[in-house]
Amino acid sequence: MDIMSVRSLKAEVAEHLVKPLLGEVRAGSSFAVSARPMNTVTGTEAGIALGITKGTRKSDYRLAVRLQRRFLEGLPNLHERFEQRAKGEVDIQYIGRLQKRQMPWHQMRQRPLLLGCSVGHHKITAGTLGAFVLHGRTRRTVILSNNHVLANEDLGKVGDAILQPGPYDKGKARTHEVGTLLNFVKLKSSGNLTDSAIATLGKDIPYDGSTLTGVGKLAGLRPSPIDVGATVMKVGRTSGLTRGRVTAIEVDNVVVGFDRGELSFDSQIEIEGADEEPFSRPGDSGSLIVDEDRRACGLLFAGGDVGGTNAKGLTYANDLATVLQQLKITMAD
Amino acid sequence: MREVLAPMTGIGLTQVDGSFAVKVNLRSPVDQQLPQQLDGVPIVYEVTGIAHKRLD
Repeated sequence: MDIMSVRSLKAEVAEHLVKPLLGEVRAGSSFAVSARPMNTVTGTEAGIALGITKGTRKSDYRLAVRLQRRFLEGLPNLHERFEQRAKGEVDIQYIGRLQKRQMPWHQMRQRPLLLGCSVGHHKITAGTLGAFVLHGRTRRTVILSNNHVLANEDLGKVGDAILQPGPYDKGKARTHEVGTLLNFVKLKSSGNLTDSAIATLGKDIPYDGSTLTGVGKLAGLRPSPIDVGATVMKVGRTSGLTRGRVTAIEVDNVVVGFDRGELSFDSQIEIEGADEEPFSRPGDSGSLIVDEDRRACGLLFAGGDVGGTNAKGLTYANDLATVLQQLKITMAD
Repeated sequence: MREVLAPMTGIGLTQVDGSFAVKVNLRSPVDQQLPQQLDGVPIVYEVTGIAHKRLD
């Protein structure tokens, strides 16, 4: 059937077949209404959707009939009625009710604040809230992430607003402010050990600093450096919970692209994704990395799409003990 | 070593068959012959390109 014919058929079927059919069904009270809040009832009930699909030959089209309620399949002669009207040039499938695609929890507003959720300085896009740590001098709980997440690559000023979710995830100044930039390790062209920063936690902002969603309760700081071959996990703003394997340690001269140019880092941890997935994706910066025993060992900050035994790229992380030392903070109990 | 490995983007420790080895990451493939060991320690090369900050 050519495209004009199938368009015409679609309009005819909508008016003279589907409309009366659904009318009959409604009259017979076959449309069940699921129990849900009244304000979500719109008057539109899922039924039969019509469209156009490709036929068997080039420039050949067929009528697409999509059933969104299971009981419609059981109506007497339903298929025959469509087949007859379309002279057999119809594709009928049950697709069920459709739901809008929901953003994953780690990109949404979270109160209490959760490890792994979207966060960021008010002038960046979005990164990840890594951990809640104790500020050495004040003993107050503060937020830990990367310099480029909380301090905008040294451009941020102490007191700048930190948003959750981050601006890219619709975080708005004031409405979503959860704290302010407190301190960061300045970035330099070479010899960096960490890309790290901390932010204050706003008064009355609830948080859960002990649970890594999908993993369990954190078991503190790993007492020794992570070794090659160790299995690690993280929860990040973009890719959520992923597992990986340490492929190299004490990696020096790691060249990383920033907005200000390429900077190099020493004593880094290199990780590849387990199975067929990368360990991290853009937006996962700042994620806390834990070992198999849920002991914190790294702060994720960079990655690429090339390399790794699964060819999904490699991820780089700062040694967490060095991060704590440089920022004069400790892991919260 | 650094002069030979101008396109190097990282150098660290890894393991091969249970023994430590040096891992050298490269920006891109190199044409020249690269040393396979240094003082008896194996060297593993991998083209990793340049890493970038993981910001969305």
